[in-house]
Amino acid sequence: MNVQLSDTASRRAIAILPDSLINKIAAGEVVERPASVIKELLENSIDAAATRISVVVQDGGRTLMRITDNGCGMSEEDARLAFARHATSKIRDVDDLFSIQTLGFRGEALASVAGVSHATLITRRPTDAGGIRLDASESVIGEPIPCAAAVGTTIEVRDLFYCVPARRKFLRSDATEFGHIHDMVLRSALAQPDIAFTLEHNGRKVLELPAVTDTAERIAAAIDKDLRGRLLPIHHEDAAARITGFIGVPETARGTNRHEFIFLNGRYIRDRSMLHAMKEAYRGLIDPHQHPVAILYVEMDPAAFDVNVHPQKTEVRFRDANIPFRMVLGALRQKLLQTDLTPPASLNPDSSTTSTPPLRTPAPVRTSSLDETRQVLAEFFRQPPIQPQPALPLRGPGESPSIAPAADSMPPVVAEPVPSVEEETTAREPMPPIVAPALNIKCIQLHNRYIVAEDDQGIVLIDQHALHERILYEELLSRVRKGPLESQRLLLPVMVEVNDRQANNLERVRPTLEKLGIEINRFDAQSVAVQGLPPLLARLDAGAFIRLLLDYLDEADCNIGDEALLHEILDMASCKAAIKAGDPLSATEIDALLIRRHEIERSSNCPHGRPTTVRLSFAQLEKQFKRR
Amino acid sequence: MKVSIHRQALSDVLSLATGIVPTRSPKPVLSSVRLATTSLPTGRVVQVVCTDGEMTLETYLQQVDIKQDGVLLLPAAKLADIVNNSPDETISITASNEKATITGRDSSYTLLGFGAEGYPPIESFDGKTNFSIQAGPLKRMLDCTRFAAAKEMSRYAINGVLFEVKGKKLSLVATDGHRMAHAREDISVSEEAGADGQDISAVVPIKAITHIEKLLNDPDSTIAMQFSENKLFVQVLAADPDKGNRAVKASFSATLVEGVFPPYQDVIPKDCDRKASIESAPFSSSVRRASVMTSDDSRAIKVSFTNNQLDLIGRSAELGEARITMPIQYTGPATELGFNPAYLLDAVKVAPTDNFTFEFKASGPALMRFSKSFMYVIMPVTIP
Repeated sequence: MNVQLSDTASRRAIAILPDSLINKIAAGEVVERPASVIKELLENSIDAAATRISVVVQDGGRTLMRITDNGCGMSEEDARLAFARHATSKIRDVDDLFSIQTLGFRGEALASVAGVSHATLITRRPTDAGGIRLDASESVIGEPIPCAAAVGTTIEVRDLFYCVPARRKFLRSDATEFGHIHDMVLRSALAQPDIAFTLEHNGRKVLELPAVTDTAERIAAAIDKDLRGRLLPIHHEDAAARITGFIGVPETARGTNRHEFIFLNGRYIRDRSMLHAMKEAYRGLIDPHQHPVAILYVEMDPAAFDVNVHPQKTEVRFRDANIPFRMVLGALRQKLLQTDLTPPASLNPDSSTTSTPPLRTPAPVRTSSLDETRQVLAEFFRQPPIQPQPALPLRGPGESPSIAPAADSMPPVVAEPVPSVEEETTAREPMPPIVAPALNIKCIQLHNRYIVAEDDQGIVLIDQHALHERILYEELLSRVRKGPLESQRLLLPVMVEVNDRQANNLERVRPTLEKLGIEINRFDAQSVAVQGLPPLLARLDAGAFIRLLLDYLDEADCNIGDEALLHEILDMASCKAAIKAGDPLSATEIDALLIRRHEIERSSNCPHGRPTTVRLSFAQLEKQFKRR
Repeated sequence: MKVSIHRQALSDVLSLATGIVPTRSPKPVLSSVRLATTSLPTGRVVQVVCTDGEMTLETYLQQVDIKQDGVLLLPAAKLADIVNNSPDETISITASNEKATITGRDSSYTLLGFGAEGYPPIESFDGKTNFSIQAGPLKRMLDCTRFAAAKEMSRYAINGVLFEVKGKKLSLVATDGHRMAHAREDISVSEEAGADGQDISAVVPIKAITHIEKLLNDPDSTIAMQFSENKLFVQVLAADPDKGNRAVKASFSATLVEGVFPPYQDVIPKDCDRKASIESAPFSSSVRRASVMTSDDSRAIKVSFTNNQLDLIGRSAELGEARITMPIQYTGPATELGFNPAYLLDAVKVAPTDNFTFEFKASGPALMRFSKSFMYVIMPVTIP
């Protein structure tokens, strides 16, 4: 050490730092928290071609982290070097740096870890007769000691940050720190389905993932068993890259983005543009505040991007940032569009759809009462036959509608005996002619809320508001893409109270509104007037829409893009213009809805991502009715 | 109760009644009609009453032979089925307790009814008429306005026709927010009501309008109207010159629409500086032909006024264009406005005149004036 203090000034001269301090500083960069250690060690194990990795953690990694693999192990010389800084077997020169094929490469991980903990390395190569053990703490590396060991490497890290109290103080609760470790193991497990992983915390098995060949099975086992059978495979390939992986169907969407995984050449990364592309692909299929489940494996020429941006290597710089965005969006959108996303109806909300309903034991019947029953039944059948059950006026193809018009406040479905033909012609007013083209779908509206119809796979239940909302949204969107909409001026402007800030916000979005045919003008200091609406939105509750829009603009990012803003506005407008739950529908209105349902894309979910339709398949029905 | 009734008369009354009687109701008794013998100044009659809780219709059967007085509640739909299908000229109804026997020449039905005490009390016309008008003019006014009322249930306050009385004028107004129809006639204001010079403003729901129209078949009958706070009472009086003793043919009451009708006077444009005189029949034809080229995406047509010429242009990006030209009387500056063709046609269809004036500005609402008693305000469509 060469510290010179001036007597006259307290200024310090420049000095070379000792290695132990350098390691501590570097450790701060690489080893931020226990999970960073796990990440580095997992990458080493994977690079060592292990097929089984087990991770044992105590107290969130504070007391102990131990990673055991069955990889290739190290020689005595390598083991000694492993703790030295910038010692790595993975790169040799600068050229290698730009075509990195392995996960770890900077050669500072083990040295950094050893600098801030008591670390132990036990390793044995398959060719060696026995293992060796090496202890290191505070960058002081002990002598290798021969010991008994299985093939592979075990690294034990105890008392992390024991010598860096400042770091130690900043560690969060054990649960939080373990959560991060769990994430790290999860990422490796998803990237390497062919490697078996176990994770143990305070003696409890948290993950136990056998090696599999089916990536979907690994995903379901690692994230959520409910994802089984609800993952859609993605495959997209072009000159620039190859994307494979799985995405969850819309109803598996989560409240957090922790289930979006992108692996770039096997390395977990978080890339804003690709995450955005995922969100975009699911736009309108899931709630805007939710995130899809998606596990994507992107393979690209290593020269097309730079991972050496940040020591944690989760950020990547692409040579052309548009390529990954376009590819992810294209691959996902195509898959979602060509898939029938109608979720199956669950008849058994408490148990999963695969479980069978409990068997009902027949009530014991005494013989005497059985005889009584027989008598009663015999008596019953001697009586003249009862009137046949009045038929529900379900319409078949080509029959005239028998559901009351919407203007009537009566419940639209009226069960009444079907009159005879003579009555029909003499007593009743002639039935109105069918206006809409006869749809070959039998359908009925129930509770003024749901439409029940049939399709070739079973029975579909439709939420009338959600479906109409989706239809309006798609129609408006496709219409606005062709050019500005007509605006029917209103005889009576709809007034909405606003403050100055809100008025300014509205002024900002006015060009977008005008494109949609929504004319809004400042009326006076306290209010704006809606003066025109497009004919497509004739039913729009303009006041409710503007208030919703104002709330949105209050909270929204000022820099929201035009496209995103348009989608948001369409969302709100279609919601407020759609028929509501509780609105009675006439037969022609129902037919029109069902016809349009088949014409638009993505009719299975409303713009908020809730399903518009659920299906009871023949298989489910037959199971429920015990036909099989 | 024991009566024989002219079958066709009963059938006519029941067809009015079955329109009101709810087919499914939490109160099953409402699905019945109430038959009761009573006396009117013209003689003994059978009163037929039906209600759905909001509307009540009361009619009187004159062609009856009453042998025994009584009150009877019978299911309306079944009774109508029996009466409508009967080949007889008269049928007789004999009732004891809640059971009626309906007999014709070759038929006998036993029909189970309801206890008379379960029927809701009927509010009746208390005699104080606000105003009266002949059925003919009232029917014309309703024809000219009701089509413009809002169809959507959500816009409750305009889901009907406004009846407004100011002095000796009755105005009917209906709007759906895009166009507005306004009809006006003189009325005779009754002395009691005229004394306090009471103006009226009340919205009658479209459903009630439909039933009132059915009572206006005889153009010479007099319609007396009374408005209470939330109800409308209508009395149909036979066309009898003897003013003091006119026969009541039917009474109808309905709950009014709650909510304030928008200030329609503000909507009528008053500063139109351009005016064209147009013949109705060729105009309708031209509008229809131009609207062939509209689509779901663009439903409006352009209406272009030049010197004594009207061009109607329908255009759609996917289809193409139509242009129809017709002569009109117009000398103002060339003006082009967009309109929904259905709205233009609606008014011309119901108007009783052969021509109308089209009053407008460079932009903003236009006024179609058909006569002193009927005008129509229509909002343009901005076509990008």
